[in-house]
Amino acid sequence: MIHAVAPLQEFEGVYAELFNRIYAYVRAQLRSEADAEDVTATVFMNAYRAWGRYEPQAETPAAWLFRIARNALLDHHRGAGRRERLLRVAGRERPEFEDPAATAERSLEHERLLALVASLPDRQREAVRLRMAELSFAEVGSLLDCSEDAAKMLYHRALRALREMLSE
Amino acid sequence: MSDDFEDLERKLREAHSFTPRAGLREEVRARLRPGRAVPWAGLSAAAAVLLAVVGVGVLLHSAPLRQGAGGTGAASAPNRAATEEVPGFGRLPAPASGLKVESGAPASQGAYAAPPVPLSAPVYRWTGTSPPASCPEPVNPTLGGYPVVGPTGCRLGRPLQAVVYRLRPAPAGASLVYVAVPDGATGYFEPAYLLPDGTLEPALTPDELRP
Repeated sequence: MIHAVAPLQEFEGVYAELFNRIYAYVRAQLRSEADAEDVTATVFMNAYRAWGRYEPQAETPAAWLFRIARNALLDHHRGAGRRERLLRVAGRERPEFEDPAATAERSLEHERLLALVASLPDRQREAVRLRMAELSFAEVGSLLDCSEDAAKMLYHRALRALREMLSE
Repeated sequence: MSDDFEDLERKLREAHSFTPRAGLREEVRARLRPGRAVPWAGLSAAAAVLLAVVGVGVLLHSAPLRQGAGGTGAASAPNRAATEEVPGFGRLPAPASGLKVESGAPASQGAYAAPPVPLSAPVYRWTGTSPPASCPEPVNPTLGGYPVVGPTGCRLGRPLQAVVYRLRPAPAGASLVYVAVPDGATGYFEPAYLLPDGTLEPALTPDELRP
């Protein structure tokens, strides 16, 4: 067998502590609440299966789980890209609609901020999103393959860029 | 860094604060529980499979391949079955060895175009003392489009669970089939290679099988 599967009870602590944070991290990047739920479920299914391979000495459970979440989001976006291309080929191009109910409950300012974050360079954007998910700079650095200091720099560069954009 | 960004960070935190709907946490948790199975869905008409044949058997070889943490991994058998992937089955019972498909082998049927052999494929587990599926059509859509070679008797709608295992390289000319392997109060549909002469060989690696 390629990996041992840890009992659910051993996974429970990680699940309890990080479920909401993972959901929020995923949801902030997806327009649809349903997609966010699907991706969140995928994250935890994948994490549960991989739990036997998790090495606590290598990274914190949060960094490990957010790594899985980032991969799941990438997979989701790749799949979404394929679906859009297929629709275009079929002549049935369809814009991605916001969920009206979800949009209504959020302020325009929040929506604008999320859009600005999405427009940042990749690593700055990810640094902001991971920090907003309450990861430490060391954990952000681990996920972005850079030092803690470099993660701080990325994050603060991102904040400066956001502030400039907001003042325009 | 700085207080300069305090207000901006506060707004960012607010913008990123999403709360899952009530019940989502439990729904996802339920999907992690081993032993829970989702009933086959959409097994209507043309459902399933089976070609006759020999009893259960075969051998195996295998190595479960769980998809990595969120990764996209190697090619795997298409899984159109409405089954649930569960954490793991452990080492599997080996099918009987030396079995041969004498007639009705899917590979020998003109209408049947064997899907390409993948790098990995699900093993399906049923509960109950007999295999839940065995239908007259050569291709069983409930097992990823691969035919089942084994006992007859078609009873669809029973729950299955699925775990993906890595396959050993396919011998020349082999096509992938499934064989039913009863195991006490439960049993498995395990992937096997059907050779052109009708011989069945294990598709799983030996270390995945019980001694």
